[in-house]
Amino acid sequence: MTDGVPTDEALMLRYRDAGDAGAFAELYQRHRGGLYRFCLRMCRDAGRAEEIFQDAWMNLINARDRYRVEARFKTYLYQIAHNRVIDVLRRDGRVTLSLDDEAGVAISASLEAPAQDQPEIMIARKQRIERIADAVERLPAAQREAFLLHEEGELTLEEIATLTGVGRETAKSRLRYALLRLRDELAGEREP
Amino acid sequence: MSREPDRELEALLAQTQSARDRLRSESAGELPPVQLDAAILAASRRAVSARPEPVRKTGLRRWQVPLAAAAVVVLATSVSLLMVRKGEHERVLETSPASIAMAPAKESKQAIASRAARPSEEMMSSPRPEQTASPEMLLRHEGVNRRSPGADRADESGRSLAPSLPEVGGAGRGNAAIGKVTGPAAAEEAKPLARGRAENRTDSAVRSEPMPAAVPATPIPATPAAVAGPSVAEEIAAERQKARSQDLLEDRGSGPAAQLESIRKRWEEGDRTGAREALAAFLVRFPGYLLPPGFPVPKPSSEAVKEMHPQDR
Repeated sequence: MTDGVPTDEALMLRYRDAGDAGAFAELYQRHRGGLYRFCLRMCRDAGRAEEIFQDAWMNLINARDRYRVEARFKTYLYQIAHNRVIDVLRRDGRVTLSLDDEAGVAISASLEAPAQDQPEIMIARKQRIERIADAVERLPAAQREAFLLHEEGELTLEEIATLTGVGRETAKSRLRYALLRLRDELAGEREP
Repeated sequence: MSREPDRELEALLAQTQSARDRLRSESAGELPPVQLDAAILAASRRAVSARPEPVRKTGLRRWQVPLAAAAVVVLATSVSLLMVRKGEHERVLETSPASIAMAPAKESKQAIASRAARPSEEMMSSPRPEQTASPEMLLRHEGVNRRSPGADRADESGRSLAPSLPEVGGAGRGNAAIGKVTGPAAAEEAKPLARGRAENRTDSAVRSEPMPAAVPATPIPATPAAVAGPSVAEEIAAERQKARSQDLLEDRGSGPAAQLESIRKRWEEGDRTGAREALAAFLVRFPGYLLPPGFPVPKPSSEAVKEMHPQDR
């Protein structure tokens, strides 16, 4: 707890032990945006993102008695979402990529940007923020996940490594590749 | 972990800082639908409200065990009382006048009357001569002007002794002694009394006092003597002796002249045996006392004095 603001872990314990729905609401308010964007960028589909988002929170609610303060609450929450993302992608048959693909070159055609996100459509939007978002979405899944966990979840390299089940160096490498690609995308944007 | 790669990563983060900030700020509006928020928050509330609360004992549950225990006690007591009453009732039914008639008639009316008086003697917590004395004793007391209502009734007839039985113990017990020992004669003797009682009895009285006069109410014999016939005479003798001793002790409270006057009165009233015994006791106590001339009671021999009152010596 810092400056009288309860930590995520304290709120979760209050919800688990005392059934404090207010504590859960506070937790939800803190993480709803970041988690939703993580799901949205990972799935690139609002409907599936909402499904994963809801499943993640429902898992948290239903499995609250199993919650232990062994890591940051955020790591726990994003771990649930990560597992659900893999499940959904497998269910949809879109997982032809390996999430631990280091080079990020083994991206299946199905994971290419949707039709509406093709470069010509992106150019038509003429909005830089969308270009950035598209650049992120075009990242290989493993790199994208590492990038989103770092940006949206504000997780450390160690937490990303733990969550994704890889070593710290692997997580760092994924994040580095993601940042390089993003930089290149943005550099190309400035050229015209 | 080396420092170099971390430094490279930090440099990359710095180079993309502005782009990431723009992305973050622009995508800040990308939020889950409000309906989704409401559904998740409602689910969180439902989950905790549906959590089974620790079992608290309600008022009824708290009193369940004591109430059950009290009910068991009440039931057990009721059943026990019913069984006891049923047993008493069956005993009454089993004892019929026919069975009483089978008992041998061996004793005289005087014996019946004296036996009828005996239970009263035993039932009283503190024996009083008026209620516990045998007919002979009552007559003797009558001679010294200490007559009791029971004695008055005894004078009227032999069977009138029965009503003098103490109500505390119930007439049934006294009559039980009569019925058990005496047989048809005693039954016949007690019948008018029983009829008279039964007429005045209510139903509840019948239950609490289930004995028709000659029928024993309970198997409890009035006395052991009532069951063992031959020992009755011995007990009567012992009672007489006890009464005599009581009289003598009372007489000792007065002077010799008064005692002699009392003995004289007994003699004149017909209680010859009592007068003789009293005189013998007097001579034991006052060995050299000269009897006044013309004293009606003959002076007993010294051997008789010793035999009659060895304990006074």
